[in-house]
Amino acid sequence: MAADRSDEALLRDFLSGDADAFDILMSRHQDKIFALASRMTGNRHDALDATQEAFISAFRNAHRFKGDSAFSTWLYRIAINACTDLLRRKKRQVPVADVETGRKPKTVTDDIPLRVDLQRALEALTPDHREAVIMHDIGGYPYEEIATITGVQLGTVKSRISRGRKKLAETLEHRGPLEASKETT
Amino acid sequence: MTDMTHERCSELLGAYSSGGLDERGRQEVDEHLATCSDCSLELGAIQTLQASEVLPLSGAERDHLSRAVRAAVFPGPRRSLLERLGPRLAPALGAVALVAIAAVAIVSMPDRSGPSIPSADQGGGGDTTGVQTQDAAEEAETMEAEAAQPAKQSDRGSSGDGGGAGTEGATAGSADALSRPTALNARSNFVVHESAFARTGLELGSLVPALSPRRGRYAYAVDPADLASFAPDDRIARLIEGCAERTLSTSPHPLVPTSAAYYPDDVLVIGFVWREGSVFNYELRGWLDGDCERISPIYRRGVLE
Repeated sequence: MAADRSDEALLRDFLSGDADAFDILMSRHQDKIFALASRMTGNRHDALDATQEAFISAFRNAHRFKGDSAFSTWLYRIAINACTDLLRRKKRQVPVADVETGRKPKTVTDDIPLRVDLQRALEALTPDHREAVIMHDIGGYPYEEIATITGVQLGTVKSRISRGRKKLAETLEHRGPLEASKETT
Repeated sequence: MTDMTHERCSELLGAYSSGGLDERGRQEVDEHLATCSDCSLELGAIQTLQASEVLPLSGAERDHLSRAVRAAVFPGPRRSLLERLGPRLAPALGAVALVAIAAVAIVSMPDRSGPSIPSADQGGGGDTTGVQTQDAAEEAETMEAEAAQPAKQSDRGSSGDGGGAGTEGATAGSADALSRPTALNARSNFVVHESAFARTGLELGSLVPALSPRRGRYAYAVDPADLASFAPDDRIARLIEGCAERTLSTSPHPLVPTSAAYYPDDVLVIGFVWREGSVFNYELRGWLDGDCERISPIYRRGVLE
């Protein structure tokens, strides 16, 4: 059964031209990647975009997967990069809510922000801290694996997570990031 | 036990919060929390994070994702823009159906004549209605650079005098006409829906300064519905689709794509309109390089009234 194959076997099959393997890998991982992207980007549109980018990048670079880590870890890393890229691009754009009318856009069911205050607090973190906190406290990745994925020392991971959480809690308490978000206008 | 270190507690907080610690571990953390405000703060953050839920992917989102990734990974026959945008365009189409909003496709054209740039923002109903542009390559934060527009206008040479957006500039039989296309050409190549287009403050088929980081390019104001017939090859058509898709996917508004533009090899721009009550906002955003990977800043947003 194709569905019983391991991720790594599926990736090899994909590289051999097995389109089913592609479908299985997508369906296996898209929810987790989307959840990560939603937390990272703060809205579904961006999350969908980042998820798409992540999968495209992963499949296009499938031949570079060395098997040093699990496929899911490798994919997670790619997804984080996709989110970071997307956020960086957006940072260079005018924040969408700051239209000249000063009015907030009407929400549609499709893009209700996850939680505006939480998202802004996350955005107020440094990218390193945000990434570590999201991976650990949302993604459930153990410290050691985060160290592997991000290529930093274990102690650094611990410290980033601890500091990131504290900063997050402080910002949520003081609503600081609401102001900070206007910096780019 | 009260000798748990701060660092150790921090490590255990995730498991503590999700109920993954045994009784003893829980007690130790409890004791430490009682004396450590930092760890309590951390716990608050964890609980907030864990409480935030993400709605799972909808069927339409799954389909879209699968199609988009598949199309990129397994290049095959090109599909229509509508098909590709399907689930995302649906709310936007709902909005547009009510008003038959304007469409402005802006097709950038090369220009060898240099700085003579017809001003687009002088034509319509004032500052808030004109589609204004800036040709600086700077970041979006430099939107104030629009203040430079009047200066630019002063050296626009033959490009007309005020009233008609870029039309005069386009039709003027000046030296510029030798080096850039005319408005007439634009009209002959595209169908333009005047009633909607008028909202932009541009003249139909007019040449406007391209929304490009590059100087010396011009755009035609046309209807995006005609882009399909305009796009000379699949590669360019795909770039336009990719741009529309990407931009739609990064906006919280139910956007209606109103403009698309291309110039082979380097540029794409796409504009959007969305509605808030009776007010129509526009934005022109997303200047992409040919690989559709890099999006430069939003150039202009405002209100169509």
